[in-house]
Amino acid sequence: MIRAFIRKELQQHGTYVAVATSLAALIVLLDAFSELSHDPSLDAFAAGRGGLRIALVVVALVVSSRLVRKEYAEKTQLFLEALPLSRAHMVLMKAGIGLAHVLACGGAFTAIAFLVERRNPLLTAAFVAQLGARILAFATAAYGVCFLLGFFGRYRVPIVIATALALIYLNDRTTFDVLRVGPFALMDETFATERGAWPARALLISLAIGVGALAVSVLLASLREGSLAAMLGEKMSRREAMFFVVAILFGASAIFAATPKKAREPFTLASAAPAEGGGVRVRVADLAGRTEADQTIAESLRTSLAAAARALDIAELPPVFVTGRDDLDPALVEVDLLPDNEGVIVRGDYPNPRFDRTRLFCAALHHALVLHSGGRLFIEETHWLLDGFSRYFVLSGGAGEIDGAVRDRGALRVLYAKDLGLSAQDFDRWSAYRERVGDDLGEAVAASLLLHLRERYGEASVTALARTVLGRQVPKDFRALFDRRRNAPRRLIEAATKRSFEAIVADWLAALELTRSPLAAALARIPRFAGAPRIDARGKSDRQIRFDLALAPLPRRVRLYYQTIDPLTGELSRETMRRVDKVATAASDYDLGETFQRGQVVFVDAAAHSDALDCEVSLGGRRLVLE
Amino acid sequence: MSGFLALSRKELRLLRTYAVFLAAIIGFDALSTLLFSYPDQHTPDRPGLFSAAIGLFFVYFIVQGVAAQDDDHQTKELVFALPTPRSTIFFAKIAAVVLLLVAADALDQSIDYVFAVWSRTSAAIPLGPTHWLRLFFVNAWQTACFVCIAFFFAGFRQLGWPLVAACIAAFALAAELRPDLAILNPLTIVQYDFDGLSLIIPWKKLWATGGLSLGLGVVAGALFVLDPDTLAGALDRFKRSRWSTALVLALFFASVALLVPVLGPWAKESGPKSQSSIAEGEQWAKVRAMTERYLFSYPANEHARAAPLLEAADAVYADVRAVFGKDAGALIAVDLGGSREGTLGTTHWTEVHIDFSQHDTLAAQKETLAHETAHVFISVLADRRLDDRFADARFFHEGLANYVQLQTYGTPQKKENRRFVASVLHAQRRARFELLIDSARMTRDYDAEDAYTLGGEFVTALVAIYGQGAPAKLLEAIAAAPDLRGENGPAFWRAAFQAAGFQLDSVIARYTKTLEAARVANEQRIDALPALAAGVRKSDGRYFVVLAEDLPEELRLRCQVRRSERDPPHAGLVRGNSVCAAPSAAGEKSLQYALGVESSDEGWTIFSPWVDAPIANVEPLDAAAWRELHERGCDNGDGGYCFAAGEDAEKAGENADATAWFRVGCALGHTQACVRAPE
Repeated sequence: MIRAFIRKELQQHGTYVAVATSLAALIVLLDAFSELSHDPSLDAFAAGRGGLRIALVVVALVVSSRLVRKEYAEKTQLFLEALPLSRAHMVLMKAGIGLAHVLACGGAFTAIAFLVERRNPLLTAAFVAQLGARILAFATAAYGVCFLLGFFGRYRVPIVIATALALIYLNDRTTFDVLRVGPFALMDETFATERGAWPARALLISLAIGVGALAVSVLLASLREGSLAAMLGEKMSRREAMFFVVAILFGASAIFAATPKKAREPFTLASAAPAEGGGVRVRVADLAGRTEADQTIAESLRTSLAAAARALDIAELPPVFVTGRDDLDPALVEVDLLPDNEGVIVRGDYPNPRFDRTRLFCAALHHALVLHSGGRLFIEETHWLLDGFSRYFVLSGGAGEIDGAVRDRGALRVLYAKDLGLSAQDFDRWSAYRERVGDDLGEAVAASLLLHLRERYGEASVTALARTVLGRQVPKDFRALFDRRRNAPRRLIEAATKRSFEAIVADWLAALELTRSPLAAALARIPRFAGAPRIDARGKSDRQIRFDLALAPLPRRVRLYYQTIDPLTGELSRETMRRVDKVATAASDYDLGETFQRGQVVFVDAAAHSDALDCEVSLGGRRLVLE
Repeated sequence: MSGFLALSRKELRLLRTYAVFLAAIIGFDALSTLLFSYPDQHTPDRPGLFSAAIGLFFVYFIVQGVAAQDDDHQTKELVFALPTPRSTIFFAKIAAVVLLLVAADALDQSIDYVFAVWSRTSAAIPLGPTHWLRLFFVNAWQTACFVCIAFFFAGFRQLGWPLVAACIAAFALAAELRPDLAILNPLTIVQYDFDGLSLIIPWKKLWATGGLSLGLGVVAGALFVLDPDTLAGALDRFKRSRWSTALVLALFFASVALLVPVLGPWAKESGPKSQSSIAEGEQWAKVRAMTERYLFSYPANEHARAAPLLEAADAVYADVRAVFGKDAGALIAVDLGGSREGTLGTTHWTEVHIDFSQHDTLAAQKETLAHETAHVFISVLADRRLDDRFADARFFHEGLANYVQLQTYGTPQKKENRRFVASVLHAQRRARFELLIDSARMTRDYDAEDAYTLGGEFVTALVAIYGQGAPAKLLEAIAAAPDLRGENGPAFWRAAFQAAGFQLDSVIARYTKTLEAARVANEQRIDALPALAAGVRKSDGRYFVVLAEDLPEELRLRCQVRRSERDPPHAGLVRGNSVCAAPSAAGEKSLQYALGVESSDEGWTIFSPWVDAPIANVEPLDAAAWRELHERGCDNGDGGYCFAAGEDAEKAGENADATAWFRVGCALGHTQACVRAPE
């Protein structure tokens, strides 16, 4: 009987199984070729690992699908049930036939790989035995699960999708590491390289999964005299399939969206000076060990931030961590946003006497507002207000007393920026403007306009504007579209002042001119760029970019910034661009030292540091299309 | 025509379920954007609805339904009885599916386009209607290709799904072996490449994929016209045949027998060359030797060279253990028979491969063994957690191994060289921590070796602050903290340092200060380094990178070439001090090269960033360059001349025309053909 049964299965499914096995073998072969083409030093076991993992699952899936699902879908199990055999016996025979085939595939791989590597002295008998055990246990687990799935008939695909999503969920949202357990661990990167102890736990779990799944299969086949399996085996309509796919995808999206991420240790700054109160938490630590001023700075920063939060009507700002870094240029402040709104890290060489400490406050408030708004303030209409508010708050005395040098530097920056060209449209195209003049000049320009508004229309008008734009949290949905239009700073300013924005900007620019004469001498000492980048064609396709620059007064060095971009790239930061430093000379032809190609789009700028402005001044960044 | 229209309408009516499903998906996507995010803060480069592999599966799912629905609804006889040619019935089915999917694609893309326009961060970003039209055209083409391919596979009925899966797998692997095949991949039709401000329509790829899809569609149509059941019937008859299983297996083994000789040379030609200490054509048996800590394997003929290393191996292990202050406790298998191209050694978990042929002295062998043993220690101490996230951790893995190597067996000159190269990279802003932890960007833009140099300096800073045991403590903290698994990039490293009780910022500060001090000390040397502007030229189907200006005498040109950032780099064949011959063909759209300078006296090499040079308009190598090449000789980097390759060697040797030599030698680019010049 058993022989006849086996003959019947072979005759019925032999071709399909042979095709599937052949394709699986092809997968192993091609994957091994691919692995070896990347790393010829791999042995056959290591090269075939990835392909074997897929191949065994494919074979197990096809074999179990033919032996179980096909039988129940076409209701031919009724003929088998008419035979003088128990249902369990029938299912066990099917399970045995399939398992034997899958194990034979795994065994064949082991044997062939061993034959190929028979002269490899690193492959000892014990090691090959371990590899064989891993393969066979993996094959058992894969077949057991696939065989069980076969009994779920039309629900097997939704179950597979749901199980896969559940495993992804476990891996992502809990500390359980799915890939280090059972069959996954058997065929991971330690396969073919681990010569130590056998992976006994993974072997046992895999065998248990395989055997357990086969046992459940027998149970399922015998339940209610097999009627449950027969019912599940009926074909699913396409409408039903669509329903399940949509339901699972939507359900999984909802579960993933609703479940919080894995809890993790909150960020801490060891031995930091703390300051808390007024909805603000500040930690300050100088990493170079110059800790005398930390507590004072923490307290002063907290007071200023709390004042700003009050002015903006914000109950609580994200925590701020300040680290003193003596490796940074005193003209620089670096900022990092911690994930999940955990806070803002501000880095700067604040104990250095050349460091402008108002920068700590500006950077901290700017980025705390970004976190508070969920990144919303980066949209172009509000970006200038975000950039300018922190500096405005400092210059208007909101963050405490400031010295005249800071005020003068601000005025100098604005005049310098004005000379580069400034209009009302620049506030509408703020990203492009910042890209052109740089962050520091942009900040000064925006702050200056706010100071002008304060002077002409009163502090309350600026505070109201900032509260509406910076202090509120815009709903994270379609309402943001209406809010963007309704609460655009330009519109709010025009509504509050009853004047056009263009007229206000013209007033402001005229007022700036009045401040020029006392600063004229200092302004004349700041390097100014004249010239433009030039595209040199070398043949049909090669392009070189050179700068014909005339610089006066002459700085020590010139920095050339460049980056190849695609035209859809949003705002660029000079921090991440490629840079070439050159010794400055009176009239120079500076070369980027790289060849570009026709059709590329390249952002370029030439800059030099100005001590008077305590920032970089530049020729004006631009995006060049290389024709 | 009216018959075609009527049949198309009928098919469209039957496709209503799918239309509702697609509308639900598109609607859900749009609604979730409108309800759960800022609709005007979206990235504008989202692919089409069906661009991913899941899109192809979905198209196949629909097509399979359309192909089988006359069977399912038992309307087949009725349809065939109509006075309409079968080809019209087939075209009506295809047209209905294409219409539905293209319409869905257009709807999806239009919604996405609106979001993209709302989200435009700068008015300078070109998102005009032309952009949308071009994108729509390419997406529609892709969808049409998918439909044709799907109709072909649907003809195989039940075998269709496994065949689709198998073909995708086979194609992916074949394309990896032979990258030229990627042009036939319909999944990669939609690409965001620009010529100036315009999205490029990849006509070559469109014709290739369109031709393939159309061919498959025609086959599917022919089978349908002949008799829809022909294939199914034939398959059924074949399946019932007594010999079917044996025939399938025979067919498989025959294909493999054919495939191996075809794919083998392909892979050999396109892939990296194996670096083996065993000369080509010679096969020496390998022998095994065991020490307390290592299990060695090496070619029998190398016994004399291997013996000193075997003797010193356990001492190397002890030295590495002393640096870590911990024991890995693993038996390390070492194969001295070869390593991946461009490497002296590689490590996979506790198995090490070393290219013995590249190590002339015992000191060099010990250095490499220490480096690779350090990798084993890192993997074991961190419980493979750094191996799992190699993209974030490559700099630390390689840097720590480099640190251990130099601590144990490095000379002061090597340490000095590492510091100098690091200072140059720092001056070029390639040493930033954000870049170090972004391995994908580092290997895309810069020399992969930067990770060793800069990682070594980073570990030096870590040890300088927290002591010799700090690396091991950090690795153990990474192994012990399960919540680190979900973190990426800077968040991971911040959390890992915190778990070990360290301050990441302190280490970064020390690292940067050290590099800045080195930069200031080396300012003049750094300023004197030449710019490496170059252009790509083509001759005899080979590509050459020609330097705009010659290098100074004391420096030697080095170059690396690759097809794309996904492919491994190959060393280019340098000619004189101005030309690099690419050893392999260019990629689909461009040739990527990185030029470097080497100081033979001091023993350092620095590569410039990778350049992605489009090959669409490459000019031929001009006469002056040819003459230049002829006069200079061809240096393979090992003091030898490359004058001929393979069977042409003899012919070239007899030929007095040195230009012909170069054409044969350098143009073929076979480094193996280079021979040492007579003393």
